[in-house]
Amino acid sequence: MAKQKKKGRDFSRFKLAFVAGLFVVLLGALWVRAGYIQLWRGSQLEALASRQSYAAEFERGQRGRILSKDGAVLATSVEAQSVYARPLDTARSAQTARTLAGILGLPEADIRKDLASKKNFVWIKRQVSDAQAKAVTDAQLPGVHLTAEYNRLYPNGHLAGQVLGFVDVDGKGLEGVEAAFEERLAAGQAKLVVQRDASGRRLYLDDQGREMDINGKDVRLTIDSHIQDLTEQALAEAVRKYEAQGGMAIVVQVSTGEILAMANYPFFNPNVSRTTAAGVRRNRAAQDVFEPGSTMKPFLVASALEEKTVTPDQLFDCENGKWKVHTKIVRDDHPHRWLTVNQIVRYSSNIGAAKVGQALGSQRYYDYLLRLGFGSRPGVTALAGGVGILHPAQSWTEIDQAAISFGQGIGVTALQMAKAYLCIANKGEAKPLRLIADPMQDQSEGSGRVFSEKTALAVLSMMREVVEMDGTGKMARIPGVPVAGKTGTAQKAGKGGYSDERLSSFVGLIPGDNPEYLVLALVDEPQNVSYGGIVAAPAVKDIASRALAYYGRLPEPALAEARPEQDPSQMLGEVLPAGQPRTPGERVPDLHGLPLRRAVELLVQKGIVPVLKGRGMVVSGQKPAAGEPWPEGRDGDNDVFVLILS
Amino acid sequence: MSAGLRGGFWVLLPLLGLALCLGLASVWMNIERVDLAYTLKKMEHELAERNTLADKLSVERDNLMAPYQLKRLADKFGLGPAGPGQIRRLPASEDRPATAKP
Repeated sequence: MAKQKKKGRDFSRFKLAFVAGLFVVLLGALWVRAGYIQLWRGSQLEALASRQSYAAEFERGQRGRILSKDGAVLATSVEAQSVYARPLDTARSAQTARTLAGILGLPEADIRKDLASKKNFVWIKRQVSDAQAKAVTDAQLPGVHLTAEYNRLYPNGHLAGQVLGFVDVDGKGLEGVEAAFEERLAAGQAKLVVQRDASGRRLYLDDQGREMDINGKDVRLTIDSHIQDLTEQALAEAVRKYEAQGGMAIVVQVSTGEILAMANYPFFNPNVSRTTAAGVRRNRAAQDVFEPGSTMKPFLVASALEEKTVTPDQLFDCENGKWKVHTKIVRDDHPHRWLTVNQIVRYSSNIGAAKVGQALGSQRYYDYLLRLGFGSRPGVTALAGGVGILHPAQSWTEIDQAAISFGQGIGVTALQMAKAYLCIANKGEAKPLRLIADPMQDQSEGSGRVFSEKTALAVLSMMREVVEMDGTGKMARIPGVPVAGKTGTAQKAGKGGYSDERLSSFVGLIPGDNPEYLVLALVDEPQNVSYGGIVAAPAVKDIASRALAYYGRLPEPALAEARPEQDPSQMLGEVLPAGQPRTPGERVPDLHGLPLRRAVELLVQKGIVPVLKGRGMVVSGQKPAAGEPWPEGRDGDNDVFVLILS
Repeated sequence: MSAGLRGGFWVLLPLLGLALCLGLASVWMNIERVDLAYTLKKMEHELAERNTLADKLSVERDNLMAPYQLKRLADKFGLGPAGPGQIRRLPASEDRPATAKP
């Protein structure tokens, strides 16, 4: 029994100790393993886990809009779908290509070639329509996907197309305002960390990186969409009517220097920029250089008046329309003999202008042209304006000087011309042109007084005569509104000299006595008729009258009818002050301001039959001048006594 | 069991209970967070779609209101720019009777 008891020894304590030891070992192993994973491989495993559950995502913002002064959206970006493929994932490429070709309207062979590519990613078609995107989604083609991009749209079509410019397929500005303000308009890109779930869906678990504004900023132009439209319409009518090559027009608000409209014809629709010729996309009004012709004469006369080398009623012999300068002949379309300075502007005499230019001198004229902005960029932000062609005065020959006096032999852009006329309209003080309303631009350059107010008003008065009297710009008259203007009919340079083609232009200042709007129109190579007063002046009239109607400022008919022709009997009361001569005396009397009938009566009493120049009922100038002895001749031969009428 | 150990146990028990509650709350909040993220994602997607649609409709409206479109319609209905005498000016104040000049 005792032996048996000895044999049946109790191992329970040993077993318990063993199990406890085993647990300790296992627990210890777990701790060791946990420590190994946490402490030794912790950072490595954490990185692996993050890579699996977190992903970086890029988010692109929307490109800024371009707005007009009146708030119309001229350019905006809208989300559109683009179709791409992962060729390695596509199955049955031939069938996929056929399906895509049918939906997207692309050649099947091109798509098949793309799908056969070894690349991981190929574009099939970018920025497709919503209907096409839906059809692609519905087709459920393996390896073919859609991704969102922004498509640039121009809701107003061709309105101010050349000014706006266009963008490439990646939304980068290439020309016009789009290119000039690329930095401001361009959308930003944000990198976001998102969490992925088991099925790969991405979740934003915090707003890290999403608080920043990645949208591009808007740009507001000074262009008024309605003024721009009516300007484009009027320009297109003029170009079509005279079967011209093209045209340009600019409208400027004088008080602010803001460009309200800048039109180029043929029009350019930025929505289809890729299929438009480069020549049509160019903003010709800002870049193209042309010889302006007679529209330069007001600057010449203003310079000469400012320098006191001429007076408004000083007579110049206009040589009956033909004058030889060295080997060249200067001609006038309408021959005149004696013309005052204001008549030189009114009848646009080239010979008269050349003689005024001679009196002024080339260096002084050149200096004024520089101060008016010719020969330098107009400095309008967002417009890469041309410099033009203005050679230094030292290099001018006598023929050059004569030609430049009437606007040939000098190259300017329409924008330069508008800037120079803005100086006259602004009573002699130069002012910078503005195209961008927001962001505000610091444009103190190009301002400062060029002509005295008196000179500017005198030239403005001459320009009113061009339109309101019997000048070359009669077709720009607007009933009830005084209009000042100047016509231009420039010869265009061709091979080996000047060609038969012309550039017709007209610059109008409205109202003519205190200009608020400057309207410039140029028609390039009109057929059959080429006079600026016939081709371009009606376009300016249309633009101005429609703009005034838009602003609700067209005068009522009663006022319009009261203006046109003054009653000579009333004029007599106005212009004949007390003490005017009633009988001829020992010396030539001052006939200035007398009615024509009264002046002729006085001269006839002295036995003189005067030669009449110009049209009208009132004497505005005379030759010989008041106070001089009576001339010897007794008839109209050799212009013994000339009465200038207006 | 000594009194000291018994006292320690009663201190430890609420702490363990608190830790358990906090753990459960943390799990619940995480589930809610993910759930909210799904909802947010869905709503953002819907917002983006609506914004895109609104943008497209705005472009369409701008296109229909573009001066060249209005001119086309005006020509169709025999309308044109106002000439002298065709502009009516309404008084600025509402209490003044409207007058129209012919």
